[in-house]
Amino acid sequence: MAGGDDLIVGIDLGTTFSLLAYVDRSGVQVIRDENGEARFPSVVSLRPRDGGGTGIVAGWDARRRAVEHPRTTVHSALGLIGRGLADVEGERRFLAYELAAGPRDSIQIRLGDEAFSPEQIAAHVLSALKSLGERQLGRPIRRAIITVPAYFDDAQRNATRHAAQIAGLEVVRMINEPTAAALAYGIGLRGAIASSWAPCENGLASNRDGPISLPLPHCSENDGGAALEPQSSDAAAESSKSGSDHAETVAVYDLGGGTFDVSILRIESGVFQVLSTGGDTHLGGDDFDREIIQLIETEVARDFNLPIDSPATRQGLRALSEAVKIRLSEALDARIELDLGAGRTYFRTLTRDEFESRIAALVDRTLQKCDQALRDAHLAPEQIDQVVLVGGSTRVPLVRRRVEERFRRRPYTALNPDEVVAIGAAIQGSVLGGERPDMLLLDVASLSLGVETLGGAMSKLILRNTTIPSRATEMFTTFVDGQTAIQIRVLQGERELAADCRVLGEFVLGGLPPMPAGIPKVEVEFLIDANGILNVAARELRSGRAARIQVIPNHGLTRDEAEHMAREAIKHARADLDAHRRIDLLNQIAFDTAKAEQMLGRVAHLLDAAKRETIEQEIAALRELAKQPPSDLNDLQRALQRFGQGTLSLAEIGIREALRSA
Amino acid sequence: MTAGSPNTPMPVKCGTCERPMDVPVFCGNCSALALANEADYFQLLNQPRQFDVDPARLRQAYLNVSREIHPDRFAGKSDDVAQLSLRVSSQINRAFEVLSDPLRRAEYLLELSGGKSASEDKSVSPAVLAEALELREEIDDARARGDTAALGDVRRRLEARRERRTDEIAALARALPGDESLRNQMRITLNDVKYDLRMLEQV
Repeated sequence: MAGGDDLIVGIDLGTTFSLLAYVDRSGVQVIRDENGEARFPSVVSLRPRDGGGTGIVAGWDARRRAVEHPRTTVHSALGLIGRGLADVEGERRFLAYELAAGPRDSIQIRLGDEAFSPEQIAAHVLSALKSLGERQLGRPIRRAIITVPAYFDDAQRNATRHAAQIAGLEVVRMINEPTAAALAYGIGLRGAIASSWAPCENGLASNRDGPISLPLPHCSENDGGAALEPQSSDAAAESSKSGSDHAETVAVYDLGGGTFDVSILRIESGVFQVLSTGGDTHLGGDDFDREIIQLIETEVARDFNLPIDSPATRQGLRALSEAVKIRLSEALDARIELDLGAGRTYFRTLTRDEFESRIAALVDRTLQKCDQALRDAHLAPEQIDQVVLVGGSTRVPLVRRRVEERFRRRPYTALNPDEVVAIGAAIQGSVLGGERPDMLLLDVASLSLGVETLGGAMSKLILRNTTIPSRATEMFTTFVDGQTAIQIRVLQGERELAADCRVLGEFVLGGLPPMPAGIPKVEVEFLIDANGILNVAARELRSGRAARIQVIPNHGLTRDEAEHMAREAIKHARADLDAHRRIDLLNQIAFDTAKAEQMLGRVAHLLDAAKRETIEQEIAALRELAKQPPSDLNDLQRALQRFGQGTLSLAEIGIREALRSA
Repeated sequence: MTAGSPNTPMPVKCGTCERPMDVPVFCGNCSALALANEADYFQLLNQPRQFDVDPARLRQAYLNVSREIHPDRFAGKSDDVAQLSLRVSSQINRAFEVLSDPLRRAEYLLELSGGKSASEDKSVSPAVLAEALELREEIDDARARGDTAALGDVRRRLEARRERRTDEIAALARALPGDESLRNQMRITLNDVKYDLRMLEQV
């Protein structure tokens, strides 16, 4: 209960917007800002401070800075979380800010002189949202349920958890967005919905005067509040016949800013059981915007022979395209006007038909995922009792039409598609707080988990759509006499070849007693917990000894780094952000100096002694600095940059040499 | 479990309060959790150890047990209890998965009755390989011609065969533990039906 010290809030950490909600005695409350707006932009911007240095702003303040300060404002960073630089190559040109490679193929976001990991950016969003919530609640928020796209893989889930830890939040549970939405929907089914929860046209929030209140049946007397008023009358008939004992099969279609998920659930006597899930972490409303951006870019290039390449124009074009998309959800056409400078203006009227033909292929991709989810649940479209639409992008009329055709029923649109996920997360918070013993979520692993076998095949140990927690064990042995460590590559994905799957990391099982080849029997346990996160343990059966496991993630943070940061986060949120940055910088220094040293060895014969010595000194100096890093991390960053410039010639010589010898 | 064990599970006593437990992983009396590594899937979900299950009863039992043992119930508890719940919960999930699927349930009963596992004995009926080859060619031909009607026909025949084999397996599973030749026959039929399933994935 709100009032106790152990409140667990629900946070929807989204690609474009984040929201925070909680449950108190009168029901679910969604935190709103002073303008009554529940959506908090997942945008972070670096702003010069009056007294020098820089400060960080998040939310609407940051979003407003986007067009004027494109290079120091980060949007859609959540789309980068837990991914490698190579994974996001296709999106890069749409981003106004710069990306750089961090250690282990991780992504660094460059803002002015500073570099941040996507986790840090997400942590800033979370921490600002948390402060907003704390100001309104009048007490600290420490524990949270955080939602993630169902199709997030292990690395993305871990990175999200790290972001929350950096923001000083204990993640009590991570739940999948569509599952959270189903929870909010299922609660609504029980017929106790307050009048303030009345939907309005288009599913947009109507009540801007105060928090939306959604009382939970067991903890509030039903004060005769108006029943839920769905838009379609058949939906009303559906929900009224659904008592708590009645089993209902629901499909949740969740199209957000950057991701798509579909989940099929069975709701029965308070248990929400996910039967199957599918999705694409790379498909959302941002892609609709990009279709418009590309159209404008092409036409501007054709008509004016002008490339759109300044970050400010690009950021402006993004905002414009989003506005056009929103307009086309209500109107049949939208006028576009783009000032290109020097008296040149690009005019264009985009019709809804044109827009729809451009996004048709994207919408089709979501429907293919729906078909797959239905097959996995062994259900025909007719067996789905209700289709619930979630995510702002489901306001696009084409999306609604195609979903209706596919499932052969009017989708349920009475829930506010922006807020329903945060509301579901808040409800799950009350379940984990022990206040709802009648309710339970049974979710599934959205991706198959396996190991790479000899020859590069993927051997699946836990199949997708298996209910979590789920455990599997596998035996491993040695190939060489006296071998004391075994290396295992853990994969996630549906393809048969390891190369086509996502590598979660290398697991090194160490500390095996030396024995002849093939004799040790190492039992490795893979356990996917209720957060959808993998835990690995290993034991050598002959000696009975637990094997030591070292996990090297494919990219992102190692467990030690993450734990270190989490410990720091508890002490000081701000200092911890620095700690993360410090780790990243130190990793980068170790990486860059090692690379320079290697290069130096290769091309030493092409350099004169003085140059060689200078570089050697630079390497030694930077390493010395890293041993006792300065308290101002900007100094460390500058030193790293100087080093990069100083050894640039080395890299060039190295490349020339490589080309010559090739 | 050894061959010939009775169909009704033995009542298990709670390690904490010593009252009898309905399911060996959770005590309805004192709410203690227990790791029951020796218990079979039928005991875990309080079902008679036999091939025929009542899907509604099985589901209800699964939901009831899950409600008590799921990690969401132990969010604020000590690490030990949370870990135990994680293990028990994954065990219950596996039990429900296996018992819900007739073929996996049959396979599991065969294992409990001392029959060979799929990896120990991969043999199939003599006709199966030739049949599979023929069907394979038929599918390739139909696909090359773009003949969806022929593909539909293959699919219907495969489904009919899978059903016939599933019925045979059910009959054999009801006669378990039986003698060794019955268990071997069941092993072979289970291997046969896997060919049908694999082919069905391809049409």
